[in-house]
Amino acid sequence: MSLQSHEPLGAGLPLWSVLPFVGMLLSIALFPLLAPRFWHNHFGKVSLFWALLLAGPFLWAYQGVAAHELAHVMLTDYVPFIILLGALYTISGGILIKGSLGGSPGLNTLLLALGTALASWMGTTGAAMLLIRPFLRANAWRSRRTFMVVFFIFLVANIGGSLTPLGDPPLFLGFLRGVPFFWTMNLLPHMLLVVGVLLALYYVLDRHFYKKESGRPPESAKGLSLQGWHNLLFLAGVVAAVLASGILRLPELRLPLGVHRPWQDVLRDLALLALAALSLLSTPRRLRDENEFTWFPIREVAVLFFGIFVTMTPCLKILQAGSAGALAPLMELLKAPGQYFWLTGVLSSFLDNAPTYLTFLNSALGAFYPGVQAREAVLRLIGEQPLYLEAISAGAVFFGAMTYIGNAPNFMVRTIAEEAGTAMPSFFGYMIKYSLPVLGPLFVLTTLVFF
Amino acid sequence: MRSIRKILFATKFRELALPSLRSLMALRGAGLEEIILCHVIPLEEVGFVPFGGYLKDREKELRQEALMRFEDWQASLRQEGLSFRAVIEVGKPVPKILEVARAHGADLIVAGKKRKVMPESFVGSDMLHLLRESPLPVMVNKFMVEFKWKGERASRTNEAPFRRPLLAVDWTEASLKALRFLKALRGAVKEEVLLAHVLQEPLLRKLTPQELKAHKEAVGAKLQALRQELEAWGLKAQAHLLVGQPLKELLEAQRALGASMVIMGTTRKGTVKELFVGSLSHRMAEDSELPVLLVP
Repeated sequence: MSLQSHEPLGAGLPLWSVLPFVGMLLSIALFPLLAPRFWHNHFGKVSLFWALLLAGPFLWAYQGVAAHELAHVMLTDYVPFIILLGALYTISGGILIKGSLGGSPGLNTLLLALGTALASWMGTTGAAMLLIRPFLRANAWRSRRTFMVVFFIFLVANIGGSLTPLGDPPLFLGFLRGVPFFWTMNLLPHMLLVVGVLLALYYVLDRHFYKKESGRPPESAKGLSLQGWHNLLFLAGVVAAVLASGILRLPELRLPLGVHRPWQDVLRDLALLALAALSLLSTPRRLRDENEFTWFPIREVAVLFFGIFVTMTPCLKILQAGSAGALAPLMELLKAPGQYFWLTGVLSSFLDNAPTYLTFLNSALGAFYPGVQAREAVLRLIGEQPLYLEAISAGAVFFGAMTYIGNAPNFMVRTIAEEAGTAMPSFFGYMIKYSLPVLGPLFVLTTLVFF
Repeated sequence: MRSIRKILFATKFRELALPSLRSLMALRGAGLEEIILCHVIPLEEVGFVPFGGYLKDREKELRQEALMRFEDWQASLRQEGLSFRAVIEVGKPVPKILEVARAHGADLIVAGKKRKVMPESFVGSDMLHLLRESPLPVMVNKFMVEFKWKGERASRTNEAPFRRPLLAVDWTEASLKALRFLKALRGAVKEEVLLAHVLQEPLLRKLTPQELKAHKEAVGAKLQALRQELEAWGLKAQAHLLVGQPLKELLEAQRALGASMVIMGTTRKGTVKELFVGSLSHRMAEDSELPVLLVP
């Protein structure tokens, strides 16, 4: 069954069928702030609740077609997505940086630049987890450290991930929908502008505060050592596997419920699993212990994204239907790339950026190519209207830095920084003192220059 | 081998944790002066709230609860004349336990068996991790256990683990370290030490009857020499030469000889190596209904 043959499904779905998706996203945004303990203990049940609330009536009303759509979203989006994140998380968790540097403005800026560069190749989570502890150790003697961690969140945990589909989850979802691996490099000018300004600003700030320090780095701060470096080879293997799946064209594997998956995708997923297993087997447990590696964060992603992927199915179908769908008024409002950049971005600041990206990608596809098969429509969008995809991609990745809940590693970095004795601002303090005054004007500048 | 002055007792506050701690008081005879009571709050219980950071209030509550329990334990063990130190940490249990043991100079780590009463194994994944990673001797204490023996259900309370320890020896460096550790336990052993060595059947099949006899005599003599060495240290000892599959023979011998615990050396194999070549010491910790003390 092709996507095209389901066109009537998107056109016929009522607007209220997106409510479970809205409920799921609002749960992720609000529960951690309003009822964190309840959320910590029951987020799996909440995710399952919204998934069942959608799946039950959807299957009852649309039967075989609904079953196909749900199986399709699980097998072609959810499973590869979790496998990629799991592989990157497992492999980067086996790399340990020990020792400490002196925490001078120059070294700190270099460390941030390194993290920003690595984020596109090992994922924002992987790069942030790899570098946050050495970064904090290097600056343990400094009295003002909060701004350093905030810039780390801006650069390493978010904006650095904008260059490849490995960098940030929304870009990988785009890759699964047919966006070529290296197309994402088109965001290099956008990224260079934002990163350049942020690094320069950081250096000026750090230098200013460094001069005011009365203490000096401890004698023990002499250098860094890298352990578990062989995992870098596995990371290169991940890049190669993902890249190969974008180049190879092999026959399709037929799965139950009319789902087809190209063999190159299946082989990629198997290769990623094998690389993760090799990393686990070849890395001494001690290294992972010192990294405080646990499976909980990836389990959490798997549980939450199960709910997200199931509940977003009708929303994506409606958006694909374009002006024939129930969200036609929303699409009428979206005209210019700048509007896509800001709307994708603002929603990505508070909701998860992966489903937000897909929602606006489908909006653009529905607006320009209603009824056209998704992969073909993506290629046509890239060829004819690339600015829209650039705006959606940059919006989804960059704006993740606007709030603590914009991207998963933000809170992990905050937790580790607080554990290490660095005071961090509250949810609104982070926005009012840092992200709005620093990133807000920068994103306006990005809009003026590029969109 | 220096005396055992300081032990780290790691607990998750499971049922019978206090009686399990009380069963270690015999170590005073081996020089025990201080017990570090250690509870690690798993990071997952307070951290990693999806998109929500860290539950500081919850951590405070859990710390307070643990502290109250430790204070209660200290009050009930006051007459033992030992000093106690309560350490409550947040993190991954095994690395934290090892960190605390190192920081406080513990001579022995003691941790309990997992919760299930009729398990396939007495050792959970955390304990196995601790046994693999610890550079210090680790005792898997099993205060009250239910187990299967010859198809029947049985139960046992290990109230006095140091009364009659069984030391499995094979003259490797690891087992000689275990022997040295046993010497340090001298004052805690109330009855006697059971020395056991297993001649493995597949190896014996390759020998002629004459060679077999000579081999048995040679190993028997080595065992007797060890027995005499222990007796010279003031420990009464019996030597037993067993034949067969080591795990099965040791499990049967500990029951038949009335042992109160098992002491063995261990070579700290990694997960992968253990997957292929196995680890007798870890299998003993998993399968034996007695407390098992492994010396790395």
